Amino acid sequence: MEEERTILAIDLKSFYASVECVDRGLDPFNTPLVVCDKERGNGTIILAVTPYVKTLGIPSRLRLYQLPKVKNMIYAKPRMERYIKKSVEVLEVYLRFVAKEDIHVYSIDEAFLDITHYLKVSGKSKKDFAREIIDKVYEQTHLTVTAGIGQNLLMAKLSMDIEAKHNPDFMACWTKEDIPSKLWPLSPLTKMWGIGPRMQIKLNALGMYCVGDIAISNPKYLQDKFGILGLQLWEHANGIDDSKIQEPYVSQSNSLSVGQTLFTDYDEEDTKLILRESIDELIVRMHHKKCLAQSVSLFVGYSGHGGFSKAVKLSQATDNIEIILTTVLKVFSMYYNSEHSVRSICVSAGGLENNSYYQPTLFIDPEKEKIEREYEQTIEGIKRAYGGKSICKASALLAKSNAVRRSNQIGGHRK
Amino acid sequence: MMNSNRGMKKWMPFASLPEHNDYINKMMKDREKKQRPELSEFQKDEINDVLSTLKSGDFIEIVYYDNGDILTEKAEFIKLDLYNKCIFLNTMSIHFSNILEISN
Repeated sequence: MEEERTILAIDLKSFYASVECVDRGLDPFNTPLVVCDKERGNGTIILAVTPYVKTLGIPSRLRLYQLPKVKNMIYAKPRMERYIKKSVEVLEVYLRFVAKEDIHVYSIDEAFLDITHYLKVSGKSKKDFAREIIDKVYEQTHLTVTAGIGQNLLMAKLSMDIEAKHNPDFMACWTKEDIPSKLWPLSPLTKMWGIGPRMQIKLNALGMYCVGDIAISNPKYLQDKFGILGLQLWEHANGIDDSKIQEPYVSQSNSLSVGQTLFTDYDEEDTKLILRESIDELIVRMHHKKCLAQSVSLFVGYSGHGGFSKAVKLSQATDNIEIILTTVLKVFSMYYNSEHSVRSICVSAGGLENNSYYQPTLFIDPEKEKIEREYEQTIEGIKRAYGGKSICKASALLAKSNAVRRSNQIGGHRK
Repeated sequence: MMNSNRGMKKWMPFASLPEHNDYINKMMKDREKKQRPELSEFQKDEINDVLSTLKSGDFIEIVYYDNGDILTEKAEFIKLDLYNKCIFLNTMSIHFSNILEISN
């Protein structure tokens, strides 16, 4: 049975845009600022807008050409590394109030804190304790937050997303009693956490248009229709969520991947170059995680639509760049249709296992491999010490190469 | 009562920024770093006494400070480097100022 907890959900308001304002000594609530890399052209995505820009009725996710003319607009170049560091600073503030076991970092700008225990000991009310944390975040970082309080993660998140945003103090606290009046009228269904446009269409087809329609339906019926997710849907519509921050989920899918969305059409030769560069990155990540791959997979997306996705099992778990590279390039050559040009690729290493079990085989010359390994480690060491640009393959100078640009990026955006 | 029992799985972050995790892990690690313990004059004398009696080939146990960690090494003593103020073991070398305890 669900245990009564007190969960605080915190969202850093217009995070990237607010950081850019704070760093300029400006107030996000009256500054017209958007975060985007203008140099990438009109189609570039706007990563964030200030609360001020939102008050003009401009959505937070749009492309540059969709942005209406706003007087004195500031275009801030994305600085991903700065946002990550700021996000970690906020996390350090949380750690002054609660133990790391009671914190779940949900994204760069969202976290859940289980404050049940701290309320009991301090004798403070939920709202007072939440306010104390929020004030400290502001004091340390000058960032404004939206906060939701609920008896589980879902209720905290819903109260934050649905109500807190509109409250003057950006805070909301929901109890079970609020479910019928505040959650059930929610419509269209995509406004509900966990329901996407496709699910909405399916639910509409069953005559469900608001969250209340789901809540009063038969859970067994939903489970028959949608499996375990259907049952979860019914639970969420009734504010039920038994997840515990103290019991983190450890991902079963042990894979690493590197993907790139390309800015122009790439032909066969250029794509091979990009595949090589992506595999270089993938290998570095594998070394970092100290793991070997049992399989590799390749996804190629064509310009327009279509593409292919293939996985290959390796004869033996490895982190050898030559083996992985040859395998991926072979798959690419086998399935690539040269009538198309390529706009996106992704290479993944799957079935990862710890590299301490590594066994040499007859097929790989151990001396040669040792030299290759030392060579790779040296290059990675130089990159770690002096930055990704400090040492590159000569192919990075080719016009279609992304190696240098990506070493200046985090998550596909400027560092 | 039926239960979907998915636990924290549904709250898995979208791992779109692996670098974010790297920074968090580094911060968490830094928080766990310990300060270099202050040794008393008596403890320093004791270390000094042991150091001056060691002979090459002695098997010793040494507790030392290493950048926020306090570690223990059991190894064979090789020699003292008085010029660089280091003790050489068959496995590693440790600066005198990092030695917290030593016994043979």
